[in-house]
Amino acid sequence: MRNTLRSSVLVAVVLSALSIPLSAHHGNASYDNKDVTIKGTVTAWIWANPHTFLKVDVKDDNGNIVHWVCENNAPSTLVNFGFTAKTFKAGDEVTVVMSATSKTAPVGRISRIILANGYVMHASVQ
Amino acid sequence: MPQRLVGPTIVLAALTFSPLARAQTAPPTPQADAAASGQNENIHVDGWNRPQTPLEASGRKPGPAPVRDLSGLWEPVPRYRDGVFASGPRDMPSDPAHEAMMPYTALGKETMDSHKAGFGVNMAPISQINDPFDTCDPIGFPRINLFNLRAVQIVQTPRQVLLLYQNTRTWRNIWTDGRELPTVITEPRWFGYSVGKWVDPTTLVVTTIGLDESTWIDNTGRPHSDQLSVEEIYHRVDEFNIDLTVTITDPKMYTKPWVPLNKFRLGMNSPDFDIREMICSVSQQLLFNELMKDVVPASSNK
Repeated sequence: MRNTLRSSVLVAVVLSALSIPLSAHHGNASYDNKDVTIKGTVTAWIWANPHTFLKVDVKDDNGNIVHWVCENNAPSTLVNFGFTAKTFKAGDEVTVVMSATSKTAPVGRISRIILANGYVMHASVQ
Repeated sequence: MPQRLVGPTIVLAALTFSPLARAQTAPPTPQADAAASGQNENIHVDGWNRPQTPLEASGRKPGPAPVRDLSGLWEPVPRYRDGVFASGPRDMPSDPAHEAMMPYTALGKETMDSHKAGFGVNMAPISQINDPFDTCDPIGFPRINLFNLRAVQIVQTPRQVLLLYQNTRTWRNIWTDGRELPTVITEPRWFGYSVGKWVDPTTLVVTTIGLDESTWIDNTGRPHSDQLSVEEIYHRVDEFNIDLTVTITDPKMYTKPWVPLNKFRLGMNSPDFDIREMICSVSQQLLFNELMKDVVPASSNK
């Protein structure tokens, strides 16, 4: 699992002191304090309270599909950054930058999402 | 290339590669519409997705404070997210320096240490958090003021002041009909029993007791007992501004009162501001547990 996840990370892990101020009631203690970037295909955009989720399938170096679950801010915050319940649909190609548990599970908290056309959607502060 | 095609080719190339063109393919929102830089922007919108600016920030000069009147649509200013307080309330955040100033009793410290919060000095991995709000229990009072204080509409009747909160779409009622607080609490409440008294024409002092002990005072796990008494001072500074001060008194948990908010500013919004929903959905929280909380082993955490 560890190797699979490691190889699915397309862009090198970038050390970062940033933590994302969120409206959620849990913090980043579960996540490594560094950015991880993945590139893959959206399988679901779950517009839920108090957390939204972007599910992304990423193909690793061995051709295996890794199912990432990327947590995003609450809808009531995201709307101020232009997100809607229909921002993503299954099949969209995205690049996701997030704090993640790169060691054990393919989950993380989104910092920003880069659409296929290059448009960057920050999830919170800019 | 034929001469007649040069001009259109240049125009097409400019449109194709310009940031504006990229922005045009982004979701149709005010933020995307405004973004010529190829990235979204932070534009505060109300529930109908209309950009909003507090009245004073929009250039209007406030008049004098009306007498005994807090009614209106309010949000933290200067920034609408200034009341998120994820890491504790503004004037007593849960960082090592402020935590050292917290006047815990022995029981208070012990109880605080048992709370595994998402933020603050007791920040725990999501698999270990025991925050009652993590299961969408009612957020309770005073946490409704001390975590995610967003838009709040204040409505007054001859006998009550009603606060309609965006966060969890919750309301409180403050009796201003001269009654005293109940002397016996037969039923602790998530939001307690509140009475308010106008101590001068522009200052309402509210006292709340009878609070359910299962709630946390703030997002970092500050505890309380059945002896908690909360004082709120709402001072109408002028037409467009209220200063809110909150004081916590709980002799079981704290050796002396402490102040999580001292003159925290709320600014008036346009009267047509539509307050957005901010719900904690139990089924959707369970989905969070399924997708996130339960898949992150505690041993993997820092």
